[in-house]
Amino acid sequence: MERPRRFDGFLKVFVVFLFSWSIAVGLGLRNSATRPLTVSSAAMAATAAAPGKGKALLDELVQKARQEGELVATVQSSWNKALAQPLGETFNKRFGLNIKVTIANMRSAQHFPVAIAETQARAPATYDVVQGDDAEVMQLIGAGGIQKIDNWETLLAEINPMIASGKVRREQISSGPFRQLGFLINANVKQIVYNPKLISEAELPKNHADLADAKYKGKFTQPPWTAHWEIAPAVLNNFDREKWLDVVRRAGRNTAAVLPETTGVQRVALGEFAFALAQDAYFRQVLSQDPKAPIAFKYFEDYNERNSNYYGVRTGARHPAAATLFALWITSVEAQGIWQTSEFSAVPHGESKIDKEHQLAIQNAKARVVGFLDNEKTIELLKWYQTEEGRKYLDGMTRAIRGE
Amino acid sequence: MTRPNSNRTGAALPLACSGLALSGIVVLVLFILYMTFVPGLPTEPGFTLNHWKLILSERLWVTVIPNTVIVGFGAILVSTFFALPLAWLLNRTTIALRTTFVTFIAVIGIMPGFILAMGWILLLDERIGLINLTLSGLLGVDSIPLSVKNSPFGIAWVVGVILTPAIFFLLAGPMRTLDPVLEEAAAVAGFTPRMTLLKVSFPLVWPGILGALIYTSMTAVSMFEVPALLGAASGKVPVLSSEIFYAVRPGGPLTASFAYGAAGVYGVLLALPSLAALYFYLRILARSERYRVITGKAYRPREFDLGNYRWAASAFVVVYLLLAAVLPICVLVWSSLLPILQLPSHEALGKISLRNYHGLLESVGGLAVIRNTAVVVVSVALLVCFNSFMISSVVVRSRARFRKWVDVLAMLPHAIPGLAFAFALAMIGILASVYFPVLPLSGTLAVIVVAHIINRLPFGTRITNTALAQVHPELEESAQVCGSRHATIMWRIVCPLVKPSLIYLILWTAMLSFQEVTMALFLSGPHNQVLSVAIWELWDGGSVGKASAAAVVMVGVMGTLMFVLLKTNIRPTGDGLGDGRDSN
Repeated sequence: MERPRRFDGFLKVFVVFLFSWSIAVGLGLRNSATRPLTVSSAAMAATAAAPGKGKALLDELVQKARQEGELVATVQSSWNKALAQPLGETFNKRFGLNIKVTIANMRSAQHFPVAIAETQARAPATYDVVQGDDAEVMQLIGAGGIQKIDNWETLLAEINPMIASGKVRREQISSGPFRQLGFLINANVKQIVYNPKLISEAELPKNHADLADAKYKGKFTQPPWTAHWEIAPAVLNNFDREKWLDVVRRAGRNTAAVLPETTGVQRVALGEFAFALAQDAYFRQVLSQDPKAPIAFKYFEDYNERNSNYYGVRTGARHPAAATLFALWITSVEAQGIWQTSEFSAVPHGESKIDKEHQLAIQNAKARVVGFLDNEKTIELLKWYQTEEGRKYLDGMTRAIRGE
Repeated sequence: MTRPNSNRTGAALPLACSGLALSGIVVLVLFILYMTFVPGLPTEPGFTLNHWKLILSERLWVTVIPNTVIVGFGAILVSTFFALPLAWLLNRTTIALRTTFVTFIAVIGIMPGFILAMGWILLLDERIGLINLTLSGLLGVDSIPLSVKNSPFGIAWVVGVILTPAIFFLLAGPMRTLDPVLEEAAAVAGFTPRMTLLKVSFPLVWPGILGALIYTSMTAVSMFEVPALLGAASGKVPVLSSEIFYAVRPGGPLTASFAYGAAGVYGVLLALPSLAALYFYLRILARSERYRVITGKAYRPREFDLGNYRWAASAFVVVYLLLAAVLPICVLVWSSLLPILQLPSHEALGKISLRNYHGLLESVGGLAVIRNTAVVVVSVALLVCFNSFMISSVVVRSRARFRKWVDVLAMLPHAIPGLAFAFALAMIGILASVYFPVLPLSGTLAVIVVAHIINRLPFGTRITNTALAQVHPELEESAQVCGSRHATIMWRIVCPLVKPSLIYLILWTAMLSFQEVTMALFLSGPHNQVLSVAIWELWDGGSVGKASAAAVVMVGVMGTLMFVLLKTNIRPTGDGLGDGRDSN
């Protein structure tokens, strides 16, 4: 009887080992199949009505989403985590669902490479539905990482009352190379956010090329991404790619710090830098936190990129029906009412106070705001960035931002 | 003497566990190496040397490597300047408030690096640095052109200050276990205390000092977040660790796909100097037996009476703590009380509130994040302790010929940046979800746990190696003679003897795991977010006030735990994490 006791010690240790491992592994497992599927009375009633094609399609999609039982979506990394709950609850309520909704903050520049790797390896998608800006979503589309939504126009009209009422056209939500694939949620204008205590408006650069001037050395911060520079080939006259890269490089050498825009704006308000290349939303965000913060904004005179954000359903999504519902619903005023109160991004065709102020500011300043879907030239540029040559050019631009 | 069969069975468990853990390390290292020679995903065909050609450019030799060398050596210089006197003062002298000081030093070790770096920007910057503003006011000049940003020397200073606790704790053991008999003999021979210190004490702990410096230099060159914040991210002072980061975490649409091979190349480049350092480190460890003059029976620690120098010594400790802990913590608290970060002023004082502390749990992601953090911290701490103990059993207790290689393999993860391991694990996770879907890796807590275990094994095995080496084999031999089996001996004799070391290892690993950001961030998905990542995201997303509030709470909790740990006298066998009491 001695034998078992002698092994007690190691057995205990081994049990601890297995126990802690199984906790870690166990919590890592997703077992959506065991989740109870409940059908709310509202959904049953809605399904019973089903007068038109749109209604029938939506009901079918809702039914599938209910069977899937779960949804995993991303929101921008800078969004308030507290938004996850109201977004999830309202989404469920809107469609009479009771599924588990996980909404995670994710920096698209960080996740999209993973998403492309997943697509290339034909692995299931980590997220069912993802958010990214024009160029990022275009890359994912090019890699086959976004799937088309069938009958999107009918479904969108059914889900988004602004479309149904004709106040917003379908093309304003999904068009060009994003048609049927990417759905616009908001758009931010890339501009200058500055500290008036450190620099006057008159002293600020007028055009992007001015940033290469030695007088701005060490005075500003810009983000590591190319959103402030990448649309120039479609906007500037007599554009020369190599000369532009040189401008970006010299501006990069003048840059005091390469920081994410939101951090850059905070550091401008702190007084560390005179100005930052950043989007309007972060300006509004800082003012909402401290109305007396010493910051102001100014548009460039040559161009200001409208950086639009889209939702797309991932190829290989585990819950494609729920993802489709979310991608279309997030474009609605109902969803906007939840996220815009804390995120301050504007919707170009929107009617909220923020949207109107945003539109008025551009109008009053007569700013030249250009987005990638605005015309054939910009669309062509977006497509060109998907080519090997285009990617190499953007690669050089990213290195030039860091002064290389 | 022929060993009984059961003993062989008992010894098989350490071998099996070590084999499992170390084979994981070997697989990951080979995977990283392999990726440097394939054009795309590891599953795609093809062979290329392009990744090497692209990276081995003039810029690498002219800028990146010199910067890395300056940061590495500079940081070690700064750390040594502070850590050596601190280790001696707080372990071998009668200095006052010892536990309090040691607690503060330990708190520096658990504070997230990016917060400490931000604190230093607020202290030393030409435009906003509080030290600069104070000095320029006193001297009546416009500005003091002194900054920690955009200079390899500035980065070296901050990294050095941050790494001081690591060297301090690595030196604490040798300092405390130094045989006082030799020092007493020197005193009898007419040596002054100063001469005794320089000619007897320091030469005796020299292997320990050198080992600590080499070990910490490996940490200095692979540290990412501090150089990034102080200039590496801007391309002003690129270092190898920032280059690898941008290879695996692209910042723009250009690189919407990973530079798979580039990440591996940078990993290898970072590993080479670290492996060289590792080689010397292991050689020093092998020779350290020559210096082993501690004899259990005669050992009794003796403390130097500092006499009139007591206040000067206290002032030195206080200055370091002010620079490394108090001021950054003050910056944290200050920014947690403001809506947006701003310099102290009458106007700013009027904006102070506790608003950032309201709804803090929701802001970091709710209870799920706390639960995930608890699972990761507890699992990593227990598994690192278990695996380290098993590996050390093989290295220290077995007669296996390959035991030195086992030790080398256990140390290997310290030579390779954690980010490279995280990247390899992320790729393996994606591939596993296709070929072995039952293996829950991608986007799970398990993948973070695995990454942390690999990353902490070198630290764990250092502790358990030392602890086991200090238990004389005579005890086990006696038990064997009495008929006890190997497993029983380990559990009933060895484990109780090294229990303080194991508890120390569990707690310290838990705390390091708690504050780790880089790997967890890279591996995070919708279901496995942990608290440190949530705080980093708040910071990165511009919610500086909320991030600071969360960090204050985090540092408060960890600091309290550390204080309790030191007060309850839990420390590794033969180590000197304070003695659990203040000597005032």
